[in-house]
Amino acid sequence: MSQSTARDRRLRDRGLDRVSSGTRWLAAAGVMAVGAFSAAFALPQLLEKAQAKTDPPTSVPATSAPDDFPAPVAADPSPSTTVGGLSAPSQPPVTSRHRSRAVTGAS
Amino acid sequence: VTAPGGEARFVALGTNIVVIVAEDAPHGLLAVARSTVERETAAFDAACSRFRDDSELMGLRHAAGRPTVVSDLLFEALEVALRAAALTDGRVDPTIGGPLAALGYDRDFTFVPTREAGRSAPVTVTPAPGWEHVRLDATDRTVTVPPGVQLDLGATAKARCADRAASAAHLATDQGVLVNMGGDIAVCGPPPPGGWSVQLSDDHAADVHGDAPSVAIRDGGLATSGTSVRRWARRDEPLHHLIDPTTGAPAAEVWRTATVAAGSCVDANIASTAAIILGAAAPGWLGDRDLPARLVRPDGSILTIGSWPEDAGLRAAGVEH
Repeated sequence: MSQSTARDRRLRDRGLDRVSSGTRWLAAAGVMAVGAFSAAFALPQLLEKAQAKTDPPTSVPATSAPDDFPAPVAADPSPSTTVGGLSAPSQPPVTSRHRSRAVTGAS
Repeated sequence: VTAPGGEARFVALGTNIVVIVAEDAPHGLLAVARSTVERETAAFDAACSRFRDDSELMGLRHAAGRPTVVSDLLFEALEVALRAAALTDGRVDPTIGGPLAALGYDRDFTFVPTREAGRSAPVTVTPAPGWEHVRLDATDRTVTVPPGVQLDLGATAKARCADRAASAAHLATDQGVLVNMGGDIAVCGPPPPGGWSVQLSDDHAADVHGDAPSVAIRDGGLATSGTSVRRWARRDEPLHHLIDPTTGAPAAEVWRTATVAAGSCVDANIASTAAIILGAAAPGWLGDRDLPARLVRPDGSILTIGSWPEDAGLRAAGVEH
């Protein structure tokens, strides 16, 4: 008879094998619960944090809109770059071959 | 009944306003866009005008240096003006109201005396007091202007108004909109195929014609500053409205016209105004900020900066020389 078999028989004689088995079931259930919690809550949060690190920061408007006027909306979903505090266009101007409908000049 | 698409024109903020919506926009939306823009210009005029005794800005003169609660709109305009000053190291300074008035530009330009009427008045040059002396407190929305300091928001308020008006008109119509306020151009929403085509000129009131150089933009803004308009003379000394705050005198005419494209109309106008005042340093300053620009010298020759299209400059040279 091996050493482990003798120990199992002693535990069975004292009725402890059921406790041990129950404990193992409880432990297994606990691990599953923790896993489920992680999947439901912790993991998405971690993923969200990881995503936030890769996304470019959104710009915060420097000015506040008056209460009785609609808030300005973004002119274009493509972000413009900002160097030295002034924003560059997201796309530079190109030579136009179309009929102009507006004139820029000093006033 | 308004025809589909098209454009609306009116006068406000002392200049010509043009509102353009996409040519295939449904009936009635141009009228909606126009009324939206009119509302914005009326609000800015009441808040920021230097030429209306009843404007909120002029009311600050009576505050005698005490903190004054102002409207959200004036507070915003002052924030934009001080931001412009900070970003240009004071070259675009809102405290030039006094120096401008001392040179004779103390009323709507339509009524500023030109050469003959102003002959007897002496030319007085005084440096701007400095934008650092103007205090804003966002917690209670107050502004403190030292006694004797006169603010002029001309370099930023109109362009900021164009940005807000274009956004508001786009929001109201769900159409692509271009708003042109005396050459300060803001666009918002989907552009037409090929972008918004804009003719380049020294004067925003120039006629549109096929041979003139034009560029297309798809977002943000385009602005032009120049010394060839709003000129007058005192004692035979020619003057223009772009003042160097450090001297209080009109900026040296290294560039006749500066046009800049930026992520917003107000940023474009800050940069174009700064370029005129910076003079010979303007190309490097604009290049450091990745701002596409077109500078025209007094002789008509052209220098393009950054990603500004070179061929537009060449075409302009052919027209202007």
